[in-house]
Amino acid sequence: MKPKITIHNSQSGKIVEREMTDLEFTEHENRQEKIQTERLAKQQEATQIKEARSAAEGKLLELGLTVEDLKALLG
Amino acid sequence: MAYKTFANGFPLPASDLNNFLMNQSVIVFADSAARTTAIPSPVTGMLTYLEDTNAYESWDGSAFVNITNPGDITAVTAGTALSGGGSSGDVTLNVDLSAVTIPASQISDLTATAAELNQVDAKIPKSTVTTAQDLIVADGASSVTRLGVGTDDQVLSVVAGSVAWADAGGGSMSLLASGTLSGSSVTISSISQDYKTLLVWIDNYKTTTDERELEIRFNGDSSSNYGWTDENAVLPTLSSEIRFGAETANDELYSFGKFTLSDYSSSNHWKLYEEVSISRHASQATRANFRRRGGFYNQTTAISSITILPRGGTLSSGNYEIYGVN
Repeated sequence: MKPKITIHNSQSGKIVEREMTDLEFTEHENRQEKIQTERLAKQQEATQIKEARSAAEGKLLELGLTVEDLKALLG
Repeated sequence: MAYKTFANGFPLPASDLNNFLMNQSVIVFADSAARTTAIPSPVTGMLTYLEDTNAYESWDGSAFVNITNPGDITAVTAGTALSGGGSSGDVTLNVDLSAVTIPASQISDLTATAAELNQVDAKIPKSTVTTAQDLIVADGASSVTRLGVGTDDQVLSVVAGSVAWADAGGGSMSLLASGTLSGSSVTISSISQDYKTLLVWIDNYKTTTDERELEIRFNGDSSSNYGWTDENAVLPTLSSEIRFGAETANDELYSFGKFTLSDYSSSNHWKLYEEVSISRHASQATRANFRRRGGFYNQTTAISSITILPRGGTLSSGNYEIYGVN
């Protein structure tokens, strides 16, 4: 069974609920895939940022500095 | 008959005796019949007294007439709005001004000072108004009339130069459609083109996949004709819809958002999307995610339908209301 969509005619007030057509379903599936891809990319980007930050903090520690030291330097 | 002065030694004929004495005396009779017998030919002014009626009567040339006129008024009594009166001698009646009441039907003319009349004229009769909520307005110089109450939400205005109740100009907002969110999308179609702005409210929205936003499309267009951003001065990437709302928490409580489409019915320009929304944070129940977005739809076609989609899963709850704003 395909997902259902609702169409509400604001002039007549008539509300129709029906299954997606094949074309609509295809577009729906593509959209879901795109959303998933976008979310994964965003999560990967967030992970990369987090990893880069962690690596940078490690390097600071090797130099005997902390994040607070860096903030103080940057003013 | 006449009056004559007799002198001493003056002859006294019978005619003088009759004319100057008998005819000018008060002649006493038992009744009128005796008088008729005694005086077959009376002369004018002859005076008689009738014992049976105790009446003085004088011959007026054609008949004996009663000369006594005692009158029948025995007293003058002060009636309504009067004072004074009496039963003898000169009698005076005075009008009691404090008791005078003149029915309006009896007034055909008035004598009053201009100031007094102006005071009356300045008063508006209660009969001017006939129905609850009536107002009194002038319909000319020194002339008033009633103005019946208008309908709900009307305001007192000026229409064609006259005071009148009228619909408020501007600021009106009409509900075009409302409903609940469910399924994979909800499309509100056949949107009226009679308003300046569309205002869309969406509350308590939630998707079956947690922490997802909603997405918006116009006119059933799924092409990459949309752009949006929640930052300033950036060039949004084109997409096949506009993002709406903050990511919802694990329940739909308290989420609310709105967006507007100004001049949505115009075919002269691209469409401007403005959105503000909140949703309860997933892990901090007393705080909310807040989103303020701007966006566009790079088509000039008037917007006649709006589609609301979940950004993942299906729509599991939510309500929408679409208003036309002028």
